[in-house]
Amino acid sequence: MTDQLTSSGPSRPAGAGAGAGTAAAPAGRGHRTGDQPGARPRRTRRVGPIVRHAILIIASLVMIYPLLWMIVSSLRPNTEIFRNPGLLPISFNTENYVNGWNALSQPFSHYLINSTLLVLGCVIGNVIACSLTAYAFARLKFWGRNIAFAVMLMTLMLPIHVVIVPQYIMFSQTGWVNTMLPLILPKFLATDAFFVFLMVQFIRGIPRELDEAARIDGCGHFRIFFRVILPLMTPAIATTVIFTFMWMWNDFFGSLIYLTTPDNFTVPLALRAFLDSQGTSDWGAMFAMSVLSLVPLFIVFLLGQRFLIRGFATTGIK
Amino acid sequence: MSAIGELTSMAKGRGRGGVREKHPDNKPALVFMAPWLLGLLGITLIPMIASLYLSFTDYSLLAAPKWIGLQNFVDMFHDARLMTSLKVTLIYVIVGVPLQLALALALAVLLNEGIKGLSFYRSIFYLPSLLGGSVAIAILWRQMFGTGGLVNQIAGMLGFTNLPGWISDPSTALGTIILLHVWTFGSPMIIFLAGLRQIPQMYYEAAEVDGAGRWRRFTAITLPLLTPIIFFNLVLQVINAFQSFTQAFVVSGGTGGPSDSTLFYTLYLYQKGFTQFDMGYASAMAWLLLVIVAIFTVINFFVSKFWVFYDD
Amino acid sequence: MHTRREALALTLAVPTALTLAACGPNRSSSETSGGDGSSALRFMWWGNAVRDKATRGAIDAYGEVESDLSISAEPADWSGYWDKLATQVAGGDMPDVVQMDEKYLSEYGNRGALLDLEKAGLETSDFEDSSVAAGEVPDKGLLAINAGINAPVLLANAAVFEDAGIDLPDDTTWTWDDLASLAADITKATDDGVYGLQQIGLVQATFQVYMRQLGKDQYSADGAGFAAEDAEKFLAYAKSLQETKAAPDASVSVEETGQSVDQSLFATGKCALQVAWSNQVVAYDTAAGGKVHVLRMPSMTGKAADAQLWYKASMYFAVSAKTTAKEQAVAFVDWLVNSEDAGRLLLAERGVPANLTVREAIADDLTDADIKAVDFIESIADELGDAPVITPQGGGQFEDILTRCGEDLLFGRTDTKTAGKDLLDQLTSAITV
Repeated sequence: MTDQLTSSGPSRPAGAGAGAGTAAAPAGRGHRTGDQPGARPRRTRRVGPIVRHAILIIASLVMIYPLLWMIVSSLRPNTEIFRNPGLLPISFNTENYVNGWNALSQPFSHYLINSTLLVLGCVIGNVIACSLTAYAFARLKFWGRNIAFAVMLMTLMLPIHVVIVPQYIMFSQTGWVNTMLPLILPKFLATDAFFVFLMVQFIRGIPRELDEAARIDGCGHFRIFFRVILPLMTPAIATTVIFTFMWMWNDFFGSLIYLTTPDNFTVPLALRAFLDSQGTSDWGAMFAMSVLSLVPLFIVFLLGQRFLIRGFATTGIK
Repeated sequence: MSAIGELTSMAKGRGRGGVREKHPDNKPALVFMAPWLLGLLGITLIPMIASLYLSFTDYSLLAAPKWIGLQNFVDMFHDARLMTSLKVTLIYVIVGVPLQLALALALAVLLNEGIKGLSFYRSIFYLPSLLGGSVAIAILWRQMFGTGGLVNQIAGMLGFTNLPGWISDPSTALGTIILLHVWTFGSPMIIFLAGLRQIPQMYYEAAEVDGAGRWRRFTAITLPLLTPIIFFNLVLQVINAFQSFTQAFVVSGGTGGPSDSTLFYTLYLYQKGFTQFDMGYASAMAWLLLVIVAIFTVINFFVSKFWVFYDD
Repeated sequence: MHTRREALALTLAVPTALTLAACGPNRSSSETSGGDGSSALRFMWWGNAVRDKATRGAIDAYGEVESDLSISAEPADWSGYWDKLATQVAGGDMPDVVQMDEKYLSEYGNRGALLDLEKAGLETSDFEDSSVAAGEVPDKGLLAINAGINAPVLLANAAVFEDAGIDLPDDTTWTWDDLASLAADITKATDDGVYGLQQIGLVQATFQVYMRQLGKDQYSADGAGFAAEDAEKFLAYAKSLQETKAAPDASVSVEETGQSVDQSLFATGKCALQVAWSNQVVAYDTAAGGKVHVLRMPSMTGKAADAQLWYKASMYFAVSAKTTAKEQAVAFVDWLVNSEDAGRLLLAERGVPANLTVREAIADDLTDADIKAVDFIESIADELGDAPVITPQGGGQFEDILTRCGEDLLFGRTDTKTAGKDLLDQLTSAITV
């Protein structure tokens, strides 16, 4: 245990940014194994956390500023928003929330519900389809696997702006325009290669001995997938859920193209309805509804991150 | 082993054994892969091939495409704005991606520790990514980096004057967008965190029994076991960064200005396709981008053989 | 094995390619006519929540005129609108009635996407003469009908003038030099960070006015309507505004381009004068707290009659050439622009109505800011120059080109001569397709 002194010691008091972060890393294992007493010299033990917290607090301020600014702006009268760029003075004008909620053709709750439906469909689709595909890529030996993998990566490399028009033409043949199907259905067909690749990498991190033990016990691939792999990739699934939720919640271009009437609009489309680059915009209402629409995102993130940390380490497999 | 590694080992293995031995899982694979295959053939591939076809046409979106052979590709070589956009994008990829990943990894490792308020910090650090490419971000960025913005105000208090408007000055505008990119490090950070959590505790315990110190455990266990995830982030962030659009679009109001200094490749492609009604050219640009990104990705996969560690 | 894959891919690709080639059937057709004789229209427009509400009100009111017809309202925001419209046209899925902008009228019109409204029997007899011509595309006919009249204006924020202790100018006699020196005086007389004039060299409307006063125009019948020297003169004027501090420095000026109304220096009380279109008067007036005066642009000679102003269409209504409900669509547009009932619901939100009967009928319903715009439009009626040539295909890029060349100049990356030449060259290559 002496090498830690020399290696983590020097970079720690230096303190700033990434260097300290990396060096401080191994200490974190402590809280889970709970075997720390006397392991570290006093000085580092006391100074370390303080420096660390200081860095984190300063960084947090930079991170949280935009949210604070949005909340403060949402509480200002429209004419004040661009006259006072900073956070002060704070006013408590809640009428933006009332106006914003009622300004569009439907109450804002309508768009929140639409977005929720869209996002739920996409989350379920992505989790099921991508994990199945990822298992095959990571664990099965089959004909054409590498080519398939390369093709899958290729699908990530074309900008959406050139594929959306042919795709639109395709979906308009099926009469699905102005429904959520063109946005949700592809997720059930694992078209989000990002998540397939993500899950492949995670499954590869799971020791093969576990599969093999299961196979010796007579498990087929489906049982291995459901009983062994799936429980062990909770962090990857939590990541998929959080990202799919966030990206689809904020998705503008796809929704813009496919959803044409306001009763089908999602939150990002509704938010744009407050704005007019050529004329009067209701910025206050836009900020107010933006703040509101962040609430579900934040809740999902808070719930999701509990599963994010429920990895291998806590499932009790040793 | 990486995918490329497998490719080579497959080639070697081709000589011996029958199909059955080499591909013992063909049947279950077909079941597991069924959704993806359907999606590929039914949804993804058709628009891709259509765009390839369109890249050989003069297509305005508003009228039927006309076959013009390689003309779009020839034109690209004489397009000064295209070269500008390639340069801007390359700078963004080469500077922005490593910076963002380093920050994300450092903070993920830091946040993986048992410090107080862990989940609080994690949520706070993720905030900028939640806000994403919303219109609010564009306004905020102007208010922070504008001539009379927060940054200049703080610098003014410290005695610096005559500072540029960071966003409107062609020599600094790209820098602020790179900063915006680095600032939204939440997504790779989350992936790193998930990766860290997946490392089996037993390894650490075993190492501890062997008397390995913390730093040693970090370099010998954490880092190697995290390499698949680092690799994933690297590959995907490079692919995404080449297609970066929203931030520049939102901050520059879709123009790529000032003086084309933030004219990202995809932004120019979008302008060509949708505002200049030249979707044929835009499609050709997209396929050039695909080739460039594919080259970077193949290099990434190739190099990964030397540093990425898989348990299988 | 490769060939099989390729063959499969090709068979899949062919139908798509065919659809692209045929540009698709008009898909709205399948939905437009129900079996019971009732029919449906799709109507798409851009705008903010205020316009959405007014337009939906008009649609509802039309339900009483034509009870068998259902109209689906499809609003979008300005930038999303054009992406969506282009995609829908590509898919053969264009809405029956759309809102159209002068910038893109010939893009859509020349490619056969829009219906000739005159042939279709649209009534235009109550319209101001030049306002109908603004929707005519050469050789194609009346492809769009004026939904509101616009003219370039110079807005003055009286509050800033007061702070500076300077009187508002006489806009019937002032010249470009008067404007420059007045603006420089205001900058001098006010606090740091408050300016006399926005950098109008980056604004398309100013450019066009300036060209017209030089005896040229932005476009002629066969391309760009000005010479490199003309552009150079204009850019030199812009540069001089920056040098005399009449306008802000390069950084601030560039920040202003593409800024929304509410965020502009003018609306936040940091600039005394701003170029705009008359249909934006309401927006600026609201944002600047009701202190806005509408002025004529200056002239070279000091005579308002030489200012060469013109009536532009703030926007149009147009009908898809492939609509299957042609009569209903044209009848609906006819009602929108000719009916006093519709006028009373839509007011001057899309610009001052070009239909004189409607304009008169709604006079009492207008707000103070609306009246400022209407008064201005009427006051310049006798001073107008010739109607300009409609923006040709590719001309939609002009603003971006002007901004790029202007930015290079203001930051000292080029001189006025090069910038003027670049401007002409880039515009020429944009419009020669």
